[in-house]
Amino acid sequence: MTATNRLWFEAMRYTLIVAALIIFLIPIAWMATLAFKPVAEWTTAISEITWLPKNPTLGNFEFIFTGETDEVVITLPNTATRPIFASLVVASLSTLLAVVVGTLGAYGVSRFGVGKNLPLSVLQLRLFPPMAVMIPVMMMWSYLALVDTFWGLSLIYGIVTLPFSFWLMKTFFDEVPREIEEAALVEGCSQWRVFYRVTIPMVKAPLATTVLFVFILNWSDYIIALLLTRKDWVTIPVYMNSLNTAMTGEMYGAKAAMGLIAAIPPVVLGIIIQKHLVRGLTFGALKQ
Amino acid sequence: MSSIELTNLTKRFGDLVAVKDLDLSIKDREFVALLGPSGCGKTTTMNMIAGIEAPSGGSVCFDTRDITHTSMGKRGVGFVFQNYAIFIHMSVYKNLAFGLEVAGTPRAEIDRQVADMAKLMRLTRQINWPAERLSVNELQRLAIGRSAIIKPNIFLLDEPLSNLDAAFRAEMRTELKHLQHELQQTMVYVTHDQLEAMSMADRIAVMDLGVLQQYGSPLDVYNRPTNRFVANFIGAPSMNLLDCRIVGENGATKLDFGEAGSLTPGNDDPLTQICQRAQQDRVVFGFRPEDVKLEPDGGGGLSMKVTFVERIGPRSIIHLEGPGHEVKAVGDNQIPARIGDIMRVGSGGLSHLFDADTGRRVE
Amino acid sequence: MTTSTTTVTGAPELSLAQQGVKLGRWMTLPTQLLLVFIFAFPGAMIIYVSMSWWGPLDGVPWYYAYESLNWFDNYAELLEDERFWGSMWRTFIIMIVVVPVEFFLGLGLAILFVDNFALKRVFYSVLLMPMMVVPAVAGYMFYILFQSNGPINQLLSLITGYEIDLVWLSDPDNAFIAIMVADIWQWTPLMFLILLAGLLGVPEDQLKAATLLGANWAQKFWRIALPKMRIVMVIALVIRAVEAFKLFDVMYVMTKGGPGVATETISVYIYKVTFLELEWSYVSAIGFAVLMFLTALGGIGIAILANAQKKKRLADVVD
Repeated sequence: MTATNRLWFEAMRYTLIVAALIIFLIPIAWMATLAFKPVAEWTTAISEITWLPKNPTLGNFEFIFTGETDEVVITLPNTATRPIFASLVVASLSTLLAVVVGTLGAYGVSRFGVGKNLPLSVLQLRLFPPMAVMIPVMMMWSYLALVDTFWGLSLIYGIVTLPFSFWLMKTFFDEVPREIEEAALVEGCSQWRVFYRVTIPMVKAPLATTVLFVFILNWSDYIIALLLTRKDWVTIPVYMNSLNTAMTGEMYGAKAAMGLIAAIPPVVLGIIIQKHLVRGLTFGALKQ
Repeated sequence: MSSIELTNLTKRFGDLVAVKDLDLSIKDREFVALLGPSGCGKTTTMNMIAGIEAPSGGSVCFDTRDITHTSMGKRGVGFVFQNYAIFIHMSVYKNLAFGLEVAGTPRAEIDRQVADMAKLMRLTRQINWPAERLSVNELQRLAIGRSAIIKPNIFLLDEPLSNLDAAFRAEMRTELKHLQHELQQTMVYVTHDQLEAMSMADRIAVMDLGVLQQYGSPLDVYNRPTNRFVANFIGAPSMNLLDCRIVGENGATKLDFGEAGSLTPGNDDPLTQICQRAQQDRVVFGFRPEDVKLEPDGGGGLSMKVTFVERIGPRSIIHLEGPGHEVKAVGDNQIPARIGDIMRVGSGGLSHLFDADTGRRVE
Repeated sequence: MTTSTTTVTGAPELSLAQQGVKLGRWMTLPTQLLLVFIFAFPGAMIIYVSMSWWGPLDGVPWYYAYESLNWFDNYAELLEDERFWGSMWRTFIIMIVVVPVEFFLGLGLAILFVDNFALKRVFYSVLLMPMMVVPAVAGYMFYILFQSNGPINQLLSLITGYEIDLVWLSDPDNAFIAIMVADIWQWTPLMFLILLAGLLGVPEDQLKAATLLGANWAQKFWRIALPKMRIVMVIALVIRAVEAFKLFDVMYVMTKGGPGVATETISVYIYKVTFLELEWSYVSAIGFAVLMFLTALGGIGIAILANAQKKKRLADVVD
């Protein structure tokens, strides 16, 4: 490739990538600006749309956390503190469940060849449209008094994200060379100790990736929480979309503020884990 | 067909100089081996000939054309990778046909040439097999065929035999030589195995740490190594290299090996004159294991103790140790040596002297 | 290795392999239990209830459904339910449009990212962001973007020079487009991620060999890169297709299936029937039918994947 060709090619490349970047960032940017706009700027005519708030304010955040603010006359019946807490608790607990069960199961299948049916069965879990299964789940959950409880929600979340922790860890376990484990076995370690003391330290990074990825998924759920929570354990997405008041209807700014809070943790976590995630998501179909 | 001219060729990777000011002239239809240990720059050099790497300095010319900046698709070289890089997902036919297909050759012509090449490479039976079914030896022939079919002027091979089991390597060596005569091409062959280089090449370029050490025919390199490195690298077991001092005593010159004793070259031995002419007195004395003369204790030569005897079938390798020196001797199985015996070691053939500091040959 | 030795006490000691299998059984037990828990009971329940007229308004718990058994009446009704088929059709259309678009956009981006260039890691991280955004939040973002007095119209006005005042979410056709835009926005990065990994996995030596044989970029892409990426492409397509079918969050938040039923996909339809019309037995039938359909879809993908892995393992042995 000649020098000028190369230059042209690089210029095209950068242009396209930057264009894609802008498109990807626009929605997030818009929501971010909305979050800092005072009520007066929430809805305006097209000609008056501004991308930066004319009078940036923290009022929206104040509003969702304290339930009232100077700008708006009404007060919120529920503040955002509880849903944030709920999301944190439930996402963490369910991630713990999914990762522990999935890791153990994945190791069993990968190393000992037990449960040959598991990989496919577990995958089938992801084939259900959540809505379709929610009725029996709702009925089961209310029968077992699991509705609107953190352990109930965590349980279903854990089950639903189990396929991911299982498949990711299985892919990673398949890649771990057996020689190291066999060396430890020869030295007299029991199988369990080998797993616990030899294998797990070797997959620290993939394990962290799995934990964070599952956490992101559990944090992001909307529909299950919509159906299985009432008021005590409402999570962020449900809360956010219910931020309408009788008086003013849609609270654009407040919702945007909440949306921002909801979106930031997974995005940050996602960036941290991206490298290992790719290996796991392609099921090791690539010889790396 | 063309000659290759490398002038002042240099390649830097950051601070590391992989190839340094290399001047090399390869004649048309010559078979040249680039020989050296890992990291000596031989593969980098070949990559620069192929165009896979761009040089940091210097030039590469084919015949008279300077192709230093020509892209690698347009140089008309054939390249056989160490791991063959066969298109595994394609059939043998498709692999062979690839170069012709991308050039837009008509189908009938492709069929004909592929059939011919397959016959030459003895792959006719496997022509429709998927490449993954081939054995390593077949893969190698396929790799060569795939490159040869586009009739390149120059053929580059990067350690192609290192993946084969020892038994087949000898067979393939002969085959490659035959091939070169058939195809009438200039061949450059990278290897770390001096036996391969010695048996196949018209000339050998020995390299170490990016610098060309010696360039000559196999016999040249074997009989007149220009420095200590080459002396040590060529030949297996490698040449015995012992530190010693040139001393003149009573008008006679001899080589002093310390406690082990000394060796006095005969009057008609060219070594005498070399010693007399030499500017330095600290030298390294080199003689090949095949040229070692062993006599029972009590005669002239160096006094050493047998530490190990390897009987490897047709020959024996005897390891000897003396104060500050180690020697290996190769002889027939009749030599009566047992561990612990003290024997006298001398040189019965070509000897070489190298400067103790620079390693260069002393003449 | 199934030999056993006796210890001093005379009890047979397990070989290492046997120990392994036993431990394996314990380790996979929780997974098996959870699977049974979530498959067996809801599965049985869905089938059971779907064959009756039971509903929450009946006043009796669900296991009394046998009192109003109707066998396959619900399924028969399903076949004639226009709204159901409409929602299936809409879901299908969405899938047919967004998956290829995401695939090709993702592929294009992946191709741009194969070489190294300045700031590559930064760009990469930012390009992955949409995937990480909570879908319900993403839905809300596009909701506000597509308002008639929102930035989309503003940008369109700027670009075309005309005053664009389109109604998006209240117009049946435009709402459809808006939803597809939202999905494409969110999931193209996933395709990009997977396809880039696939592209990078193409053996470099083979590409070099091809270049040396005179192949140009297009020829290398078609003959060497694409065949090697087949598996990855199938994975990407199947994952996306199945997930597109299950779409709920973004859709519901943006339009709630409206206006009317213009953007009602199968999940939204099921939700409405569940909560607005409370015909739970009917919904069970729908759920079961959709389940079977998606299982078949996923099954095809898994079969392709398993087949490819088998071929790969054979190739490994040959090497």
